[in-house]
Parts: sequence; C-alpha cells; structure tokens
Amino acid sequence: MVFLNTLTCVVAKRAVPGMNRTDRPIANPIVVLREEFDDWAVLFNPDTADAVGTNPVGVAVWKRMDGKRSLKEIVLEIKTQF
Amino acid sequence: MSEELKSKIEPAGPKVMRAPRKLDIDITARCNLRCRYCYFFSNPAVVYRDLPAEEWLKFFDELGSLGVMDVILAGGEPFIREDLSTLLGGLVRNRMRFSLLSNGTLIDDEVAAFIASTRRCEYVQVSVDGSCAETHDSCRGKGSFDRAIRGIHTLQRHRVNVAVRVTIHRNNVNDLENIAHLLLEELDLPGFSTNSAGYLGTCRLNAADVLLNIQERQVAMATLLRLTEKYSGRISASAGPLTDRRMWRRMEEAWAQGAPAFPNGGRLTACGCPSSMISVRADGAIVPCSMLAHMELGRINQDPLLEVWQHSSALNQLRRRHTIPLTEFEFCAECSYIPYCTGNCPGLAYTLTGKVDHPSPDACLRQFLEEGGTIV
Repeated sequence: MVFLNTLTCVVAKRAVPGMNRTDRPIANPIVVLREEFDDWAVLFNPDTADAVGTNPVGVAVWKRMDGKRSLKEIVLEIKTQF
Repeated sequence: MSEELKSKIEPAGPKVMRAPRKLDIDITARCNLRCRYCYFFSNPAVVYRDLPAEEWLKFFDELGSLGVMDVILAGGEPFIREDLSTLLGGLVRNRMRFSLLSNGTLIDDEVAAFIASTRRCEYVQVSVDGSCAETHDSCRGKGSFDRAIRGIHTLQRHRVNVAVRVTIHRNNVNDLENIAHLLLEELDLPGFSTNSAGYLGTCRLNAADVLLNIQERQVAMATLLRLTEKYSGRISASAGPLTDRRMWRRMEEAWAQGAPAFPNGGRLTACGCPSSMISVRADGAIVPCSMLAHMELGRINQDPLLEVWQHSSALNQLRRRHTIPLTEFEFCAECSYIPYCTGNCPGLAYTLTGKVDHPSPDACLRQFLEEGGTIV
C-alpha cells in the first residue's frame, strides 16, 4: 500500500470530502522523486524540507500519476507489474 | 565472490547514493574581505575566476534533473554577486533548497527579503569571530564586525534562519565566553557552531599569528566544554577544538579501559562526504570537496555530473579510503590509539603531508599529548 499524504497531494475520486475530485491523479509537481540504486526513492518537498522514503511499488505509483491514468488503471498496472 | 567473503576483505563503507544529494558550490571567487586565516584564498590549486550566471543556471538545471536536494553556496563571498537573486531563482526553479555561507557584511534588506520569499533557504551562516570589533576585526578587517552584526539583524528582521560560525584563533580564544553571551543572549540566536583556523590557504602565510598552539588549544577545549554545559545543546562543532576534545576523550577512555576497537576505528574512515555530496569550484571544476580543490574530477556543463559521480576513478578511490588501515602508516607506528582513531579530514591531511590517503597530523591525539597537551 503506497503511503499518500499531504506531501504527495494525490487527488482521487472518493477523496477527502470538500476536496476537488478527479479519478486521474496528478503527482504534486513541487515534490521531487529522487530515485536510488535499489529501486527505492525519496519524495522530497523543497518548500517544507519534508522527505519520505517510498518503496519500489510507491515509485511505480508515483510515476503513473500523470493526470492521464485513472486510479483503476494505475491499480491494474501495479498489480500486473508486481 | 560472496557478500560474506567480501566483507572480510573490504570493510563496508558508507553507501554511495545514485546521485549526489547535496552540493557545495563556490559561486564566486571574489570576496570583499581578506581574512588572515581564510582557507579559500592563497591556494595554488584554485583558479580565481567567476562564471557567468548562464553557466550556473544551466548546471542547476542538471542538478534538478538528478534530484539534488540541497546546495550550499559559498565562495569567496556569495553576496558579492550582483546576480545572486537570479542564481537563487535557478535553484528554486529546480526544486532545491539552499544555504549560504557569508561574512555577513553585504547583506541588505532587498536580498534578505528575496531570500525569505523563496521559502527555500535552510540558513544563512554568518561568521562572527569576536564579541567586539577589536577581536573580530583583528583577523577580518576594520569595520567587518559592525557590518556582520548588522547583516545578522537584517536577516532576523526578514525571518531568515541565521546560523553563526565562530572560527577560533589566537586572537579570540580568550573571548569565547563573551562571544557566546553575545550570540546566545544578546542576539538570541538558537545556537552557533565552532571550528578553528586550519593550516590552509591564507592561514599558512599567517600561521604564527593565527594558529592555536597546544596551550591555546587546551584553553579552547576547556572553555567550549564549560560553555556547552552552560548553554546546553546550543553550541556545536563538526571540527576544531570541541570536536577534538569529545573524540579524544572517548579515545583515551576506550584505551584506558582496554575497550574493543570502535566500529569505524583503525582505518581512514573519518570522511563520508564522497558518498552523498560533491563540490564545484568557482571556475566550474568539479572536485570532491573544497578542502580537496586540487582534485579536478571534471567540469560543469562539459562532463555530465552523474557520469563523474558514478564513474570517476579518483572519486571512487577516495570512497575506498575507509578500507586503508592506519597500521599501514609510519606516522601511526606503535600508536596505542589506532583501534579508536579514524584519521580525520583528508583535506587537511593533503595540505600537511601532500597525501590524501594519510591520517591528518592536525587531529592526532598522540601528537597532541607528546607536545604537552592534556585532555581536560
């Protein structure tokens, strides 16, 4: 399960009430995905200096949050890949 | 070769990141001061030439593509660059944070406001070497103290994080209590860091007037120890008398108790920087560290940084420094402290011995004791 929080600001259908709803999530453009050799990565917000580590599944999800894929499509691709 | 066998042959060192996480960049070779212990000037390895903003901005784009998180801008004096805001804008655009190392004398409201507006500044470090103008200016030049304090006030007014570095030398070693009072009580800074003048750059030309002798080093150690107890958690050091005191006391106690070797002891393990960071000189040469300015690994905008970072033979050799046992050095022959010693800074080692792969004599506990020093 990918850990999503305000750092990533993923916007999804059935998200927090009151937020804009879309089923085509977009990764927060301010957040840097810094990949490492072992397929893990750091998600870094330069405005807040917050950083979280994410595993290869999280990296794969993050890269697919391009505003074109639906949540359903992302889940299906992740299931296929992993 | 199995991992188990590998570990027996070559001790594991710090894990090398895929790309540097942080860079130290000398953004200019110019400075409005000529401090008597400056490590930057009077270095035959350094080319004192500035690059135009376009070169730096192009390089910052490369850093952004690699996911570099943090850049420390130094020099020279970064605030001497008229286009500093343009350069900072390039870092911001590429999603990086930054810090600045400064003498504080050129900081005005306009640039402080800009820095604050970026929300990306980790800190601006200002050098303060005395509690009064007489002491501070003795090594930094007339008028520099007042302007540095004014610079600190300006940063504070714009809510920019201020860090202060106190470099300890012969002229201020007896002023440390007053310096701490000025910084922590009058200026109400959260803390400050300390170092001592090292035999680098211009300091080599003024060594007799500037460098601490053994007794002065002891005074600095004792005073800093007392001050760290008084101002708990507010005085730090990554090198210099406070670090030496802490490390040497641990080493002495371990030796007295016959303790097993420290996990990182007995080899040249002190410097882990090459696993996560790299530096760039003002003329664009990529070097492992500003203390190793002679080791040109490549040039920005000519050599891809990732290629240099991952495949430079000189850099990879530096990363293997941690495998070199201290028992290999004549300098360390028959030293009882070998199991607890890490060899300290390769930059100072190079300046003092001409060899990077050598322990630094400046940080040698045995030498300190043999010259009459005691760990108080």
